[in-house]
Amino acid sequence: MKCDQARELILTDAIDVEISTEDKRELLTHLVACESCRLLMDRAEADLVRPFEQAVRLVPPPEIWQNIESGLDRAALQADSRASDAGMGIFVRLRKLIQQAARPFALTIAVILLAVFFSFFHREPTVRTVTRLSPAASALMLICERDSAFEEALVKNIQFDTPIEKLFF
Amino acid sequence: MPEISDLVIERACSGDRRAFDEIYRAHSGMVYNVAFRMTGHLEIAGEITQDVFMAVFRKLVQFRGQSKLKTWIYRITVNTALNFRRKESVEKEHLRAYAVEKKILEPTVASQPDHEAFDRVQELMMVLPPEQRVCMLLRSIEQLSYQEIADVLEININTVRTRLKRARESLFAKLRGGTHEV
Repeated sequence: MKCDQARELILTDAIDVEISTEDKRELLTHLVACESCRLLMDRAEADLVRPFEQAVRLVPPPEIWQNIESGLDRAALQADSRASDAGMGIFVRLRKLIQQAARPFALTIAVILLAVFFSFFHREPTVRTVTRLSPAASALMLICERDSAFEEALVKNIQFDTPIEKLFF
Repeated sequence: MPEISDLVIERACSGDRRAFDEIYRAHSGMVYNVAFRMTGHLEIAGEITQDVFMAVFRKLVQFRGQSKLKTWIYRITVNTALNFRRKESVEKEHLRAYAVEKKILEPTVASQPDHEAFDRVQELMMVLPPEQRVCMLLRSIEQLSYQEIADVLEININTVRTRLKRARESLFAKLRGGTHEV
């Protein structure tokens, strides 16, 4: 075995205890004869194996599990909400959809109704036509139908108030 | 690390909080230590641990038992830590560029890791690039075999060997004062 091969084995399989029996035998033979490779083996174990094996193991603080539990609670709530949405009947879902979609529609209808309501109360008053005669005029008409001389005498002296009376008399 | 039975996994899958607590107690130490050794920050390690167990809880139903639960959790931890580092470094780079531009920071100021937990091993780990660091961590601290590391990282066993060799050469160089000659 040459030094290059020995060094490669030392930095990998040998110090990681992954070396095959045959490679181990060849490496040991080489180490007996090669002082620099023997030194490398010692250094590798001292600097690159033992300090890592003895590295401090940190303990996760308890807040981590508390945060995870809160996250799981939130996830469970969201899952429940999704499940209830999926489980409710078609009519309930339709009603929800209509409720959401109907809002702008209902607003438009309300605005139109308000506009109609105000326009109704603010329009100009129409001219009322008088079709009925006052009692005095009715009595006079009855008399006049019977006596034309009396009619002429009355018409000259009586004041008529309604437009139709003014028109006919 | 106690072995978690299939029954406990099934109970945790169906939402049993006590079963999930059992999984947490068995693996949280490993997750927290891997996260710390990967990032060098206790606070970030705590965040990663939370993210990992939330992911474990969400994905536990997808765990088919083809690998060990331990290997599966190691994989999630390493991926979460690597993604966290990537995201962090991008965000920090943007912030640093902004701060330097606005003259809030000097260009040479770098973020400092937690000194209370920062031992000699961590100092050496931080010298290594992430892909070598994770191999060193899983082999030399977590004591995983080459095959287990290959399974966790989903890479070839020879790639594990190569990364370990390069990592150790770099560490020797650091210990001997900067030269790469071993």
